[in-house]
Amino acid sequence: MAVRDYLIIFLGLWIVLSAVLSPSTEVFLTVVLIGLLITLEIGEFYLSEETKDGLKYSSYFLLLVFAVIVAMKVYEILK
Amino acid sequence: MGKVSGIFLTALGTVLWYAGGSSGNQTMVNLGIGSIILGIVAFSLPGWKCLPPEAGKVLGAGHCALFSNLASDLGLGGKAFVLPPYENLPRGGIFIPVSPRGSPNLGRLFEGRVLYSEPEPGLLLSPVPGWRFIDGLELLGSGVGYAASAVSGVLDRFGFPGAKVFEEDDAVEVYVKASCCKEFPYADPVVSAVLVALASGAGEVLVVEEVGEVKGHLKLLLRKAGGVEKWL
Repeated sequence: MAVRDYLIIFLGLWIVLSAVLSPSTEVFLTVVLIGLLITLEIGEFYLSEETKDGLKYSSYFLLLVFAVIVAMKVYEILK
Repeated sequence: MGKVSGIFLTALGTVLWYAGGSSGNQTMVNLGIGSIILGIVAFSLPGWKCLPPEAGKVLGAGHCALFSNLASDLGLGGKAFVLPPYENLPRGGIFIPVSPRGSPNLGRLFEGRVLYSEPEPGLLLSPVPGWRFIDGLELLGSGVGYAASAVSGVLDRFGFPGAKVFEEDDAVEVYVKASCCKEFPYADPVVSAVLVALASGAGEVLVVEEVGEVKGHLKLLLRKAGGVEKWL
Protein backbone atom coordinates (compact mmCIF):
# COMPACT_ATOMS: atom_id res chain seq x y z
CA MET A 1 0.00 0.00 0.00
CA ALA A 2 1.15 3.51 -0.74
CA VAL A 3 1.65 6.05 2.06
CA ARG A 4 -1.35 7.93 0.64
CA ASP A 5 -3.60 4.95 1.47
CA TYR A 6 -2.28 4.75 5.05
CA LEU A 7 -2.99 8.46 5.49
CA ILE A 8 -6.59 8.12 4.28
CA ILE A 9 -7.11 5.10 6.59
CA PHE A 10 -5.64 7.15 9.48
CA LEU A 11 -8.02 10.03 8.77
CA GLY A 12 -11.00 7.67 8.46
CA LEU A 13 -10.22 5.97 11.78
CA TRP A 14 -9.60 9.34 13.46
CA ILE A 15 -12.99 10.65 12.30
CA VAL A 16 -14.92 7.49 13.28
CA LEU A 17 -13.26 7.27 16.73
CA SER A 18 -13.78 10.96 17.45
CA ALA A 19 -17.42 10.68 16.30
CA VAL A 20 -18.04 7.80 18.70
CA LEU A 21 -16.09 9.21 21.66
CA SER A 22 -16.93 12.94 21.45
CA PRO A 23 -19.66 14.08 23.88
CA SER A 24 -20.79 16.99 21.68
CA THR A 25 -20.66 18.18 18.06
CA GLU A 26 -18.42 21.12 19.04
CA VAL A 27 -15.75 18.82 20.50
CA PHE A 28 -16.09 16.43 17.54
CA LEU A 29 -15.57 19.19 14.95
CA THR A 30 -12.53 20.53 16.80
CA VAL A 31 -10.96 17.04 17.04
CA VAL A 32 -11.66 16.41 13.33
CA LEU A 33 -9.97 19.73 12.52
CA ILE A 34 -6.86 18.54 14.39
CA GLY A 35 -6.96 15.24 12.44
CA LEU A 36 -7.21 17.07 9.11
CA LEU A 37 -4.27 19.33 10.00
CA ILE A 38 -2.14 16.31 11.02
CA THR A 39 -2.97 14.54 7.74
CA LEU A 40 -2.13 17.67 5.73
CA GLU A 41 1.20 18.10 7.51
CA ILE A 42 2.30 14.47 7.16
CA GLY A 43 0.96 14.12 3.62
CA GLU A 44 2.64 17.22 2.19
CA PHE A 45 4.57 15.18 -0.39
CA TYR A 46 2.49 12.00 -0.43
CA LEU A 47 -0.91 13.38 -1.39
CA SER A 48 -1.88 14.74 -4.78
CA GLU A 49 -2.71 18.43 -5.19
CA GLU A 50 -6.44 17.64 -5.58
CA THR A 51 -6.54 15.63 -2.35
CA LYS A 52 -4.62 18.33 -0.51
CA ASP A 53 -7.12 20.89 -1.84
CA GLY A 54 -10.02 18.78 -0.52
CA LEU A 55 -8.34 18.58 2.89
CA LYS A 56 -7.53 22.30 2.88
CA TYR A 57 -11.09 23.39 2.05
CA SER A 58 -12.44 21.07 4.77
CA SER A 59 -9.91 22.55 7.21
CA TYR A 60 -10.86 26.13 6.28
CA PHE A 61 -14.53 25.31 6.83
CA LEU A 62 -13.80 23.67 10.19
CA LEU A 63 -11.58 26.61 11.23
CA LEU A 64 -14.54 28.89 10.54
CA VAL A 65 -16.77 26.58 12.60
CA PHE A 66 -14.12 26.57 15.35
CA ALA A 67 -14.07 30.39 15.36
CA VAL A 68 -17.88 30.41 15.69
CA ILE A 69 -17.69 27.89 18.58
CA VAL A 70 -15.10 30.05 20.38
CA ALA A 71 -17.18 33.19 19.79
CA MET A 72 -20.27 31.45 21.17
CA LYS A 73 -18.39 30.31 24.28
CA VAL A 74 -17.02 33.83 24.86
CA TYR A 75 -20.54 35.24 24.45
CA GLU A 76 -21.85 32.64 26.95
CA ILE A 77 -19.23 33.66 29.55
CA LEU A 78 -19.80 37.40 29.06
CA LYS A 79 -23.54 36.95 29.30
CA MET B 1 -11.95 5.40 -4.22
CA GLY B 2 -12.65 8.44 -6.28
CA LYS B 3 -15.80 10.20 -7.22
CA VAL B 4 -18.17 7.25 -6.59
CA SER B 5 -16.88 6.78 -3.02
CA GLY B 6 -17.03 10.53 -2.44
CA ILE B 7 -20.66 10.76 -3.53
CA PHE B 8 -21.57 7.61 -1.55
CA LEU B 9 -19.93 8.89 1.66
CA THR B 10 -21.49 12.35 1.33
CA ALA B 11 -24.97 10.85 0.76
CA LEU B 12 -24.49 8.42 3.66
CA GLY B 13 -23.34 11.30 5.86
CA THR B 14 -26.42 13.38 5.01
CA VAL B 15 -28.73 10.47 5.85
CA LEU B 16 -26.89 9.74 9.13
CA TRP B 17 -26.92 13.41 10.11
CA TYR B 18 -30.67 13.67 9.43
CA ALA B 19 -31.46 10.36 11.19
CA GLY B 20 -29.26 11.30 14.17
CA GLY B 21 -30.84 14.73 14.43
CA SER B 22 -34.36 13.26 14.29
CA SER B 23 -33.69 10.62 16.92
CA GLY B 24 -31.47 12.82 19.12
CA ASN B 25 -28.50 10.47 18.74
CA GLN B 26 -25.29 12.50 19.13
CA THR B 27 -22.96 9.77 17.82
CA MET B 28 -25.00 9.39 14.65
CA VAL B 29 -24.90 13.16 14.01
CA ASN B 30 -21.12 13.14 14.50
CA LEU B 31 -20.73 10.14 12.17
CA GLY B 32 -22.87 11.92 9.57
CA ILE B 33 -20.75 15.08 9.61
CA GLY B 34 -17.56 12.97 9.61
CA SER B 35 -18.80 10.97 6.65
CA ILE B 36 -19.48 14.16 4.68
CA ILE B 37 -15.93 15.42 5.41
CA LEU B 38 -14.46 12.05 4.36
CA GLY B 39 -16.62 12.19 1.23
CA ILE B 40 -15.12 15.58 0.26
CA VAL B 41 -11.60 14.14 0.69
CA ALA B 42 -12.42 10.84 -1.09
CA PHE B 43 -13.93 12.75 -4.02
CA SER B 44 -10.47 14.02 -4.95
CA LEU B 45 -8.70 10.65 -4.67
CA PRO B 46 -7.62 8.91 -7.88
CA GLY B 47 -10.18 6.45 -9.20
CA TRP B 48 -9.88 2.82 -10.23
CA LYS B 49 -9.07 3.76 -13.82
CA CYS B 50 -5.47 4.69 -12.98
CA LEU B 51 -2.73 3.72 -15.41
CA PRO B 52 -1.04 0.44 -14.39
CA PRO B 53 2.66 0.77 -13.42
CA GLU B 54 3.66 -1.10 -16.62
CA ALA B 55 2.32 1.84 -18.64
CA GLY B 56 5.25 3.95 -17.44
CA LYS B 57 7.73 1.45 -18.88
CA VAL B 58 5.90 1.30 -22.20
CA LEU B 59 5.67 5.09 -22.48
CA GLY B 60 9.27 5.68 -21.40
CA ALA B 61 10.97 2.91 -23.39
CA GLY B 62 11.08 4.97 -26.61
CA HIS B 63 12.87 8.01 -25.23
CA CYS B 64 15.19 5.78 -23.16
CA ALA B 65 16.31 3.97 -26.33
CA LEU B 66 16.75 7.31 -28.11
CA PHE B 67 18.92 8.74 -25.33
CA SER B 68 20.94 5.50 -25.08
CA ASN B 69 21.66 5.68 -28.81
CA LEU B 70 22.53 9.37 -28.53
CA ALA B 71 24.92 8.68 -25.64
CA SER B 72 26.71 5.83 -27.43
CA ASP B 73 26.79 7.79 -30.72
CA LEU B 74 28.46 10.74 -28.99
CA GLY B 75 30.86 8.43 -27.18
CA LEU B 76 30.22 10.02 -23.79
CA GLY B 77 33.08 8.93 -21.59
CA GLY B 78 33.10 11.45 -18.75
CA LYS B 79 31.52 11.44 -15.33
CA ALA B 80 28.04 12.92 -15.15
CA PHE B 81 27.68 16.30 -13.42
CA VAL B 82 24.34 16.89 -11.74
CA LEU B 83 23.60 20.59 -11.68
CA PRO B 84 21.31 22.34 -9.20
CA PRO B 85 18.98 25.06 -10.55
CA TYR B 86 20.74 28.37 -11.20
CA GLU B 87 20.23 31.42 -13.42
CA ASN B 88 21.15 29.74 -16.74
CA LEU B 89 19.41 26.43 -15.96
CA PRO B 90 16.41 27.27 -13.75
CA ARG B 91 15.29 23.64 -13.68
CA GLY B 92 18.74 22.15 -13.04
CA GLY B 93 20.24 19.56 -15.32
CA ILE B 94 22.74 16.81 -15.97
CA PHE B 95 25.86 17.39 -18.08
CA ILE B 96 27.89 14.45 -19.39
CA PRO B 97 31.20 15.37 -21.06
CA VAL B 98 32.71 13.38 -23.91
CA SER B 99 36.18 13.40 -22.42
CA PRO B 100 36.79 11.23 -19.31
CA ARG B 101 38.46 14.21 -17.61
CA GLY B 102 36.01 16.79 -18.90
CA SER B 103 34.11 19.21 -16.69
CA PRO B 104 31.39 21.73 -17.50
CA ASN B 105 31.69 25.50 -17.54
CA LEU B 106 28.34 26.43 -16.02
CA GLY B 107 28.55 29.97 -17.36
CA ARG B 108 28.39 28.59 -20.92
CA LEU B 109 25.47 26.19 -20.42
CA PHE B 110 21.96 27.29 -21.34
CA GLU B 111 18.55 25.65 -21.36
CA GLY B 112 17.52 24.97 -24.94
CA ARG B 113 20.88 23.60 -26.04
CA VAL B 114 21.54 19.88 -25.83
CA LEU B 115 24.81 19.23 -27.63
CA TYR B 116 27.95 21.20 -26.80
CA SER B 117 31.16 21.22 -28.79
CA GLU B 118 32.95 23.96 -26.84
CA PRO B 119 34.40 24.76 -24.37
CA GLU B 120 33.72 21.19 -23.25
CA PRO B 121 32.10 18.75 -25.69
CA GLY B 122 29.23 16.92 -24.10
CA LEU B 123 25.50 16.35 -23.70
CA LEU B 124 23.27 18.51 -21.52
CA LEU B 125 19.94 17.24 -20.23
CA SER B 126 17.98 20.27 -19.03
CA PRO B 127 15.26 19.98 -18.01
CA VAL B 128 15.86 16.34 -17.12
CA PRO B 129 13.22 13.78 -18.18
CA GLY B 130 11.78 13.58 -14.65
CA TRP B 131 11.72 17.31 -13.84
CA ARG B 132 7.93 17.35 -13.38
CA PHE B 133 8.33 15.11 -10.31
CA ILE B 134 10.19 17.89 -8.51
CA ASP B 135 8.49 20.85 -10.15
CA GLY B 136 7.04 23.07 -7.44
CA LEU B 137 9.13 21.66 -4.59
CA GLU B 138 11.22 24.24 -2.74
CA LEU B 139 14.44 22.24 -2.50
CA LEU B 140 17.30 24.64 -3.20
CA GLY B 141 19.67 24.54 -0.23
CA SER B 142 17.22 22.55 1.93
CA GLY B 143 19.72 19.76 2.60
CA VAL B 144 20.22 16.33 1.07
CA GLY B 145 18.05 14.57 3.69
CA TYR B 146 15.05 16.85 3.17
CA ALA B 147 15.36 16.66 -0.61
CA ALA B 148 15.54 12.85 -0.48
CA SER B 149 12.39 12.67 1.68
CA ALA B 150 10.53 15.13 -0.54
CA VAL B 151 11.34 13.41 -3.82
CA SER B 152 10.64 9.96 -2.31
CA GLY B 153 7.26 11.22 -1.13
CA VAL B 154 6.37 12.48 -4.61
CA LEU B 155 7.56 9.20 -6.19
CA ASP B 156 5.41 7.25 -3.72
CA ARG B 157 2.42 9.35 -4.77
CA PHE B 158 2.94 8.17 -8.37
CA GLY B 159 3.43 4.53 -7.33
CA PHE B 160 7.23 4.41 -7.71
CA PRO B 161 9.50 3.17 -4.92
CA GLY B 162 11.36 5.97 -3.16
CA ALA B 163 15.13 6.50 -3.14
CA LYS B 164 17.38 5.47 -0.27
CA VAL B 165 20.02 8.12 0.32
CA PHE B 166 23.00 7.99 2.67
CA GLU B 167 25.11 11.08 3.19
CA GLU B 168 28.58 11.06 4.69
CA ASP B 169 30.66 14.23 4.53
CA ASP B 170 31.11 14.94 0.82
CA ALA B 171 29.88 11.55 -0.38
CA VAL B 172 26.26 10.71 -1.11
CA GLU B 173 25.20 7.13 -1.77
CA VAL B 174 21.91 6.66 -3.59
CA TYR B 175 19.88 3.49 -4.18
CA VAL B 176 17.03 3.97 -6.61
CA LYS B 177 14.90 1.72 -8.79
CA ALA B 178 15.04 2.91 -12.40
CA SER B 179 11.61 3.05 -14.03
CA CYS B 180 12.75 2.12 -17.54
CA CYS B 181 16.28 3.19 -18.58
CA LYS B 182 18.97 0.94 -17.17
CA GLU B 183 21.48 1.34 -20.02
CA PHE B 184 21.59 5.15 -19.72
CA PRO B 185 20.18 5.93 -16.26
CA TYR B 186 20.35 9.73 -16.64
CA ALA B 187 17.50 9.54 -19.17
CA ASP B 188 15.32 7.71 -16.66
CA PRO B 189 12.60 10.02 -15.27
CA VAL B 190 12.87 8.64 -11.71
CA VAL B 191 16.70 8.59 -11.53
CA SER B 192 17.08 12.03 -13.12
CA ALA B 193 14.47 13.55 -10.78
CA VAL B 194 16.20 12.06 -7.72
CA LEU B 195 19.63 13.31 -8.86
CA VAL B 196 18.53 16.87 -9.58
CA ALA B 197 16.52 16.96 -6.32
CA LEU B 198 19.63 15.92 -4.37
CA ALA B 199 21.79 18.52 -6.15
CA SER B 200 19.15 21.16 -5.37
CA GLY B 201 19.01 20.07 -1.74
CA ALA B 202 22.79 20.12 -1.42
CA GLY B 203 22.98 23.42 -3.33
CA GLU B 204 26.09 22.04 -5.01
CA VAL B 205 27.17 20.33 -8.21
CA LEU B 206 27.21 16.56 -7.68
CA VAL B 207 29.61 14.36 -9.62
CA VAL B 208 28.52 10.78 -10.29
CA GLU B 209 31.64 8.82 -9.35
CA GLU B 210 30.27 5.33 -9.69
CA VAL B 211 27.19 3.62 -11.08
CA GLY B 212 26.36 0.01 -10.21
CA GLU B 213 23.52 -2.34 -9.56
CA VAL B 214 22.64 -3.91 -6.20
CA LYS B 215 19.67 -6.30 -5.88
CA GLY B 216 17.76 -4.73 -8.75
CA HIS B 217 18.42 -1.20 -7.52
CA LEU B 218 20.69 1.27 -9.22
CA LYS B 219 23.51 2.34 -6.92
CA LEU B 220 25.02 5.76 -7.54
CA LEU B 221 27.94 7.15 -5.64
CA LEU B 222 27.93 10.95 -5.77
CA ARG B 223 30.53 13.46 -4.65
CA LYS B 224 29.74 17.02 -3.69
CA ALA B 225 31.87 19.26 -5.89
CA GLY B 226 31.09 22.76 -4.63
CA GLY B 227 28.52 25.42 -5.39
CA VAL B 228 27.60 26.76 -8.83
CA GLU B 229 29.88 29.82 -8.44
CA LYS B 230 32.90 27.50 -8.31
CA TRP B 231 32.05 26.14 -11.77
CA LEU B 232 31.27 29.39 -13.57
